[in-house]
Amino acid sequence: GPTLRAFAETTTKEEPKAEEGGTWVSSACQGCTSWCAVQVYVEDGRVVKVKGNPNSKANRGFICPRPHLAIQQLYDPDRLKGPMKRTNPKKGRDEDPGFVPISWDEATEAIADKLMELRATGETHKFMFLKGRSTNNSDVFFKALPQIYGSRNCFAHSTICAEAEKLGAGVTEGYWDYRDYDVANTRYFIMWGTDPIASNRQIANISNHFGDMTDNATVAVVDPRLSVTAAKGDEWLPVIPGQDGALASAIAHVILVEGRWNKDFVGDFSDGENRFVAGSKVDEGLFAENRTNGLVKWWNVELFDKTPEWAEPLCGIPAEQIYRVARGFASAAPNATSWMSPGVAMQVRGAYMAMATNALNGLVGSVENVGGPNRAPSVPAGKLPDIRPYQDEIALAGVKQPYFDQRGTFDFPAVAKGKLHDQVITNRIADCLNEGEPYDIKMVISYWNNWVYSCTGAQRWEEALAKLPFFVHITLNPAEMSQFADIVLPARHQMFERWGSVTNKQDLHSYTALEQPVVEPLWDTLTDETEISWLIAEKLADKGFPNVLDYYRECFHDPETDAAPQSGKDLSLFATKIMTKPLWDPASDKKGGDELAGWDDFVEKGIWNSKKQGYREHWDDFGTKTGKYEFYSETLKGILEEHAAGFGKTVDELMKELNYQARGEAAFVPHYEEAYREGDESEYPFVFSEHRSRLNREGRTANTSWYQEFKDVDPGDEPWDDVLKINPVDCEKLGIETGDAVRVTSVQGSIVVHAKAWEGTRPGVVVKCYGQGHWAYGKIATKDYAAKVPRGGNNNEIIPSNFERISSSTTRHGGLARVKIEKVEEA
Amino acid sequence: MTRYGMVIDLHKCVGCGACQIACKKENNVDTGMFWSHHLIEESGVFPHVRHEYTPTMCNHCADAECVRVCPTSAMHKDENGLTLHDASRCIGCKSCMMACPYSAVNFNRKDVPRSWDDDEAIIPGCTSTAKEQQGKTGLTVPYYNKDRAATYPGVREVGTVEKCTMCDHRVKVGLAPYCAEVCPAQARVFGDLDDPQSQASQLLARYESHVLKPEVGTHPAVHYVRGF
Amino acid sequence: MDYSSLWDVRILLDLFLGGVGIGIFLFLAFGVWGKGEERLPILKAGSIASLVLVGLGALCLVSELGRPFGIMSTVTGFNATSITSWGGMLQMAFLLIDAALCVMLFALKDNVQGSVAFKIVGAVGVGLASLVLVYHGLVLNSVGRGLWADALITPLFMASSLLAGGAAAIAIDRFTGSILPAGTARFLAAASIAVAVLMLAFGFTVAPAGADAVYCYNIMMQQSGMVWWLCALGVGAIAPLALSVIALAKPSVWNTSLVVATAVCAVAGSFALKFVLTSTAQIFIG
Ligand SMILES: Nc1nc2c(c(=O)[nH]1)N[C@H]1C(S)=C(S)[C@@H](COP(=O)(O)OP(=O)(O)OC[C@H]3O[C@@H](n4cnc5c(=O)[nH]c(N)nc54)[C@H](O)[C@@H]3O)O[C@H]1N2
Ligand SMILES: Nc1nc2c(c(=O)[nH]1)N[C@H]1C(S)=C(S)[C@@H](COP(=O)(O)OP(=O)(O)OC[C@H]3O[C@@H](n4cnc5c(=O)[nH]c(N)nc54)[C@H](O)[C@@H]3O)O[C@H]1N2
Ligand code: SF4
Ligand code: SF4
Ligand code: SF4
Ligand code: SF4
Ligand code: SF4
Ligand SMILES: [Mo]
Repeated sequence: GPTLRAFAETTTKEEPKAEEGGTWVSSACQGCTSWCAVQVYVEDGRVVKVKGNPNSKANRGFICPRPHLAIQQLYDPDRLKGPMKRTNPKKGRDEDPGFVPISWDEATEAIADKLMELRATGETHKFMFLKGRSTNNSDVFFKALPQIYGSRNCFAHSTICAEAEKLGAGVTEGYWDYRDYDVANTRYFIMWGTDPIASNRQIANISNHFGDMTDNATVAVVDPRLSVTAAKGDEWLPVIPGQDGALASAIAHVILVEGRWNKDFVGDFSDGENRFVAGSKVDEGLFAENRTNGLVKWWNVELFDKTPEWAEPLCGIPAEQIYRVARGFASAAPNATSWMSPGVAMQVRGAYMAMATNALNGLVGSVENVGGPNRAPSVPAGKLPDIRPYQDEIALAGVKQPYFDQRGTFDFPAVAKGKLHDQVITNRIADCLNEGEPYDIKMVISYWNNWVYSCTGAQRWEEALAKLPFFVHITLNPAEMSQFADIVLPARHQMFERWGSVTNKQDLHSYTALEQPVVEPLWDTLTDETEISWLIAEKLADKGFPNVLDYYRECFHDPETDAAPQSGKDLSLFATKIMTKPLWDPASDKKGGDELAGWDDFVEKGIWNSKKQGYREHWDDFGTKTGKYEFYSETLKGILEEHAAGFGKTVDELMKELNYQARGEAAFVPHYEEAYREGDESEYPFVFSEHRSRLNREGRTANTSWYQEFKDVDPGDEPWDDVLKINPVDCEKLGIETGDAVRVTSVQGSIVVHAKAWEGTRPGVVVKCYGQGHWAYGKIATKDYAAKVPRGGNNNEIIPSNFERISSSTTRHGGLARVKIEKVEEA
Repeated sequence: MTRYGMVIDLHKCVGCGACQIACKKENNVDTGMFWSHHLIEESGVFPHVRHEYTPTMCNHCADAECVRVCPTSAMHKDENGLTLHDASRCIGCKSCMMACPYSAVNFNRKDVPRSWDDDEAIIPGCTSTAKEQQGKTGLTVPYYNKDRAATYPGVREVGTVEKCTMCDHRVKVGLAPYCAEVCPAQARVFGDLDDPQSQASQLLARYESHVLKPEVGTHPAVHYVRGF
Repeated sequence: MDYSSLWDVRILLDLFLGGVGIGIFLFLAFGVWGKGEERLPILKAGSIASLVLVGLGALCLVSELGRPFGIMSTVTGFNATSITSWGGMLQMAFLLIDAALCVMLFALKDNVQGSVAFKIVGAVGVGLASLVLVYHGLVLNSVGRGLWADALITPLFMASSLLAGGAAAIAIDRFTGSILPAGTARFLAAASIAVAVLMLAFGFTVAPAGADAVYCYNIMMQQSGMVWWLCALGVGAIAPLALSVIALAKPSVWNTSLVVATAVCAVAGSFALKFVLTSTAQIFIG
């Protein structure tokens, strides 16, 4: 990490030195999915500053700008001081909820009453539990409580996040997960919508590497807008949103035609003669494949005619640039990384784009290789104690009811980790609620999420929650979702006020980092996953249903002292210890990772690091259906065939249902499909593309002044504002100037923001950052909290809800929405 | 002689703003004021567009305009080449702001209420206020950094100016300026420019460097190497 | 003026009121005719006027400070490279001298003007007034930024102050009953021409002052071009010039109304000129 360099003058003054009045306490940041290990400087019980945890081999002592914002989140004056309840029974954006403060007792009493009501009527499954972000303690609350109570309807935000990305890697390299990257050894990067110095999954780490990365490697960035990575990289390929498939196919085509694939990894023609000639198909028998499956099939089905000249008009990238990038990438092989992000995956036809962009790593043999995308060592973890003994008849009946999100219908194979019907369909829940199908949900508890804001087609969520009879939101601030709640419970801030742990990978190390209550909260708040669950369990016990409380009491003994938990506070600590026990318990096998002397040592160091990931560990068996790296994905084929067969249909019929263009064998190989857009071009002439802010802690930082003051760290953006970035040529056509208020309208809805003439996007494509446009949350995030006037507009009010249906992913990218732009009077 | 300065490696800089945000944190700088800020320059026409981000701060100029014009000598050069501000002498005439070619000086305006004094809850009884937090902590803001007060008022009086002090309170106890400390890219390197061994001097020796607005002749101690 | 001008209207008032005051003072010293007791009324009126105007200006300046009560640090922390430092001292010294002159004029009845003391104090006053006159322009110029970097800022301010102050002094004189000699009109004509020429030349000296200056100048012209050309040049220089030429051509019309009209024009023009230069031209600074 950044070691303190000494410049001390020879001074003997005895005054307290800077940073000596307080102490540094370890914790973890969940400002994004990087989950960096941090240390917090605490003085007089206050958080004063944060830094990267120097013990980390992942973020290596570095942090991005966002942990600093977390301090303003922690001390956000608009945070809840205690529980509150709604007094206006009418729900809707235009209703004032009439919130009044209540005690924890009153709040949990009301919640338990409602829960008991549903147990009495045998409708426990009509209780639904939702969560967004969470920690390793999640299951203590999110799984144990509903399942002991009698509902399997616990739904996380996974599929509004990045599941399609995992699918792309799963069906090619058998790794249903996010990859890690060996950036120090990479000589060529193609970054598909990846902006790793601003977002993605290891921002602090990559920000530190980036200077060397651009010194040692070529960085080619495929992104519709000039991201900061594109600005600093060597090549910008401003792809037409959603048309990456054409580009990826053309790159693969060039690599094959020019004989640049990795012969060791992929294999070769038996006689060494390259028969990949543009326009002609190849006899499969002539090619001896090594560690891959189906290269020639891929060529014959897709690549043989996908020349750069073919791709140019489709993806908007000049053929000459496609050649250059393809050659550069292949020449660097195997130290070459094709780095895929949600930008290409979270699209209606994203599965094949995720496959195609990922498959380039197979072509050049960089997968799990030096300088290529890698897996990560597994992290030993504690298990949630068995809940089965605590489930009674009612509970068992309840958890047998069908999932409310209707996963597994013909149009939703809901694939997770290669398993059918196992994936949550987060954003479909709003539709299910609105339709009252498959049944009528009567009560919802929801924590650390804000789907009225964060889900595309956000208006559907407003409608759905307005109808919901009883809704509890657990949050820091009165967010959009809270406005529909009957009871709002104040949570503790993840980084500073609670116990928990998070597990992730960066820089070729896996790790688990600890979250600690580094300070006492200023207000009457509790930890969502443990303390709140304890209070609810206590109330349920009072009302004659002690099972949850018994489970906590009996199964969550302190692994060090065996003491039974007496309170939510105990549960918090003990659960954290249990879930991380294999890491700090000196007796357990650390698999080559850090040796810790015990719990106290873990608390102090704040992190357990795995050994470094080894190269090529899965080359002999990738864990795909064939064990090979699958260009022709038998894995995907098996999944699709099984799902189709379950409905007595063919894969072609399934493809049609899933809104894919592939028919026949194309369904099993990476291939180009035309971007899917909503809205008629004649009415909505512009393609809308979006990206996240490098200051977003997901949807949670807009209420900090530092977010607003530095909003222009996002290229093209303006401080304290939310702008639609429009190519100057289009501005001219529209008669619009920078600063004009414009209404942006799609088939979904409209928002009013300011226009910004910007060269960082092509004519015809308008770009807007996600993160502003809150109509609740606080004084800074909104323009007027009481009047619910947002600062800017929420992208999710113009992006319609749609899905990458194999993985159930909500699609925010690929230019899904077409929009029209009209100049309006300032709101 | 010691001549403190900073070398900012724009090639390493990822334009993240952490240095500037953290500077506000370290120095208790209120909303609307910036001790460290940035310049953004965009040029070219799609698709040949350049976006350049340059973090800025007080340049601790050898020939400091702010010092030249200050009628009270509140703005002065210290023995290490830093441009420091004696807040107790400052009469808030703003001459230094007028004169600084880099807009590095901020004024604590009287007509702008301090953000941390806000007294209105968005949901009365349910959410807090900034004032209420002050009551609880006894401090301007809960995250107030006491260390700042070692060499300069922890929060500057309304009617006076303030600017980057090169974190003199840290430097004098052997810590790097906070912006350099927090920079994830380690793009900001602080050091004695008169000491050829310092990392900063070595960067200057290795790369061509430039300063902002060389034509104004202030001879900044903040140098930039390479390009964004 | 909402592009966050750092220096508010009180700085303008200092430069404007002080300028008129200094102009009056200097005009009294050189431009006043007559002898002995004849001069006394105008000297009295003029020195009071300059004292009040410069004093009011200084008060405006001090009240504009963020910490007016810290003003003593300008003395304890005197900074020789600071024009503001010098300006503060000079204004203070000038006010003292002017006050002394007033006391002499009002308190000492007998042939004050002949006394050596009065002459010495007067001479010192003239010296200080000249320096303050220069200071009013130089203080902006010393900041060296934006439009104030322009080399003509100081001469422009000086000429404007002299014209406005002179015109005001002549009007005061008229009210104290003098019959104005032709020299007064000649002075006004010359001063008006000076202001007009400097204003016209100003546009040409912007470019050498740097890109910021050009940028400011363009904005200034966009936002206050009318004020600049109509009020500052038209009313402030061309009108006094025309009126004084008329007076020169036909001395009989050089009556009170004409004199007052000239003074009003010159003073208003000076205000407009300084308004535009101190406020509008502040953009890019701070
Ligand atoms: N248009 C568009 N939409 C997007 C995205 C996008 O890029 N563009 N990103 C998507 C992605 S990848 C994701 S993962 C989702 C995230 O979406 P969500 O899972 O909804 O998460 P957030 O929007 O961050 O909202 C979290 C909420 O939890 C509460 N909260 C904040 N801090 C805490 C805390 O410390 N503890 C608890 N208990 N509660 C807290 C607040 O109410 C806050 O609004 O958004 C998705 N939505
Ligand atoms: N700063 C910051 N970082 C974060 C988060 C955060 O909130 N803030 N959240 C974290 C979370 S929850 C997640 S899931 C990850 C998401 O991981 P990211 O990699 O950050 O994914 P996104 O921001 O969704 O999309 C990335 C890029 O896709 C581009 N894009 C849009 N459409 C297309 C297209 O059709 N083709 C191509 N090639 N690119 C396209 C966008 O311009 C954007 O730059 O980020 C994590 N990192
Ligand atoms: S990269 Fe993400 S997890 Fe890491 S410090 Fe930044 S916000 Fe926190
Ligand atoms: S940058 Fe400005 S404030 Fe800093 S020393 Fe130079 S002139 Fe003074
Ligand atoms: S504002 Fe203060 S520091 Fe600046 S010039 Fe005036 S007295 Fe000096
Ligand atoms: S040196 Fe300190 S005061 Fe100056 S910009 Fe950096 S953090 Fe801010
Ligand atoms: S913190 Fe470092 S990388 Fe970020 S803007 Fe500042 S100098 Fe650049
Ligand atoms: Mo996500």
